[in-house]
Amino acid sequence: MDRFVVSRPIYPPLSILFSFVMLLLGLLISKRESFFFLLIAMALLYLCFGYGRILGKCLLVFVPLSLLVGFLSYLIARQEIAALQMTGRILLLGLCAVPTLSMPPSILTRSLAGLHCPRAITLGMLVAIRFFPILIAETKQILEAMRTRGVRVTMNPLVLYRAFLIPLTMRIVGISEILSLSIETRGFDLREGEQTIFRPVHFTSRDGIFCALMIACIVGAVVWK
Amino acid sequence: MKLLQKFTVRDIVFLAVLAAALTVTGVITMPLVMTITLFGVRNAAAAIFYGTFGTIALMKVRKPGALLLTFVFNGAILLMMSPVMFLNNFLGSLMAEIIALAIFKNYENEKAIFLAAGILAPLTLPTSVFFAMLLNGQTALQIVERPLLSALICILTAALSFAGAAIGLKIARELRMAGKLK
Repeated sequence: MDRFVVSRPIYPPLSILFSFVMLLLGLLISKRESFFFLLIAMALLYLCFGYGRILGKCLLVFVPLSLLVGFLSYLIARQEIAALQMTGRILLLGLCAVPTLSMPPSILTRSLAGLHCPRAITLGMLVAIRFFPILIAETKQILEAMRTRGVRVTMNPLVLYRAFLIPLTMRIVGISEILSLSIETRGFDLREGEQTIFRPVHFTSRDGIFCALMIACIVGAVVWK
Repeated sequence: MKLLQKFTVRDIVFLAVLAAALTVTGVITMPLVMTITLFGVRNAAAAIFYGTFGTIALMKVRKPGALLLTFVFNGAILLMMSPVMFLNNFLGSLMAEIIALAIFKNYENEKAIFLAAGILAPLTLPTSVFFAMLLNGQTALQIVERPLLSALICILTAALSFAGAAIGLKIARELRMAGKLK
């Protein structure tokens, strides 16, 4: 997931808010002409704030996907405009994912800790995000072990249960035991109290400009018929 | 926040790692159904894993809020890809916990765990209708245009979810016998 991280991300709560608002707004105005201008405005906003690389990667996935869904929609309904709108909606999903996808997990948890979010939540979120790629690697290892033993990856439920689900659960238990021991050894405590944050994340003037431009986009999209 | 005080670091870490594993299974299954616009198919694809991992989470951490926390942590990853999926899971797990706890009071009984994990995926269906209405620009009636097929998929989702919960119970019992799940 580090491949998607940007060096200077937008203030995390603002990024999440931006994704939510833009997605809802986009879906509500998806039948208007201004919808496609909203998509362009979002892309330009990302380019201005250093999200160009991530935007490119997202578009690489979402442009073919949206075209495919649009084409399927056309095949079913035989309506060009409806298919175009469907293409736009899928593209919107991809564009809305850009700021949250590129948010470094440590910055997200630091900003949440700064907002007095419970430690249990910040710890859990950090572990879940950090261990996602590790568990992908673990899954690959289990599948490789299956192949080595001559067990084919079939849809046979019994095989999947014995050779895949049981080892995966065992690994989850093992990893969580070691990790929790490691966290406790470092003195981490879930009790709420005075806490210090390593490199606190603040709302900067850059975030303010982003926020102002975001509001301008929203107003423009709503006013423009 | 008093709810969170009952959880230990060990519980939180286990639920978070389980949430990450749940996302991995989503990565495997979702591309297969991503382009299918038929209502409920995506829920049905995820149902078996929601049931399995939901049960394992509750078998290890038998505390109110454990299921909700698992899906909040899962949502933390999903939030980066799709905020809609986060809301879907959050509301589904919240409703599942409320229903299971209203009937059984706690998770000491395995039936409570089975019920909570089993109804989770079917409970994501109503929220999916709402978001599908927004996403596809259709009314609820248009989404369930083919009532028989929609009903069939809803039943399939429920069946897969409860089958997943049964598998989860079996795995948890096996791990407990092996001394891995205390």
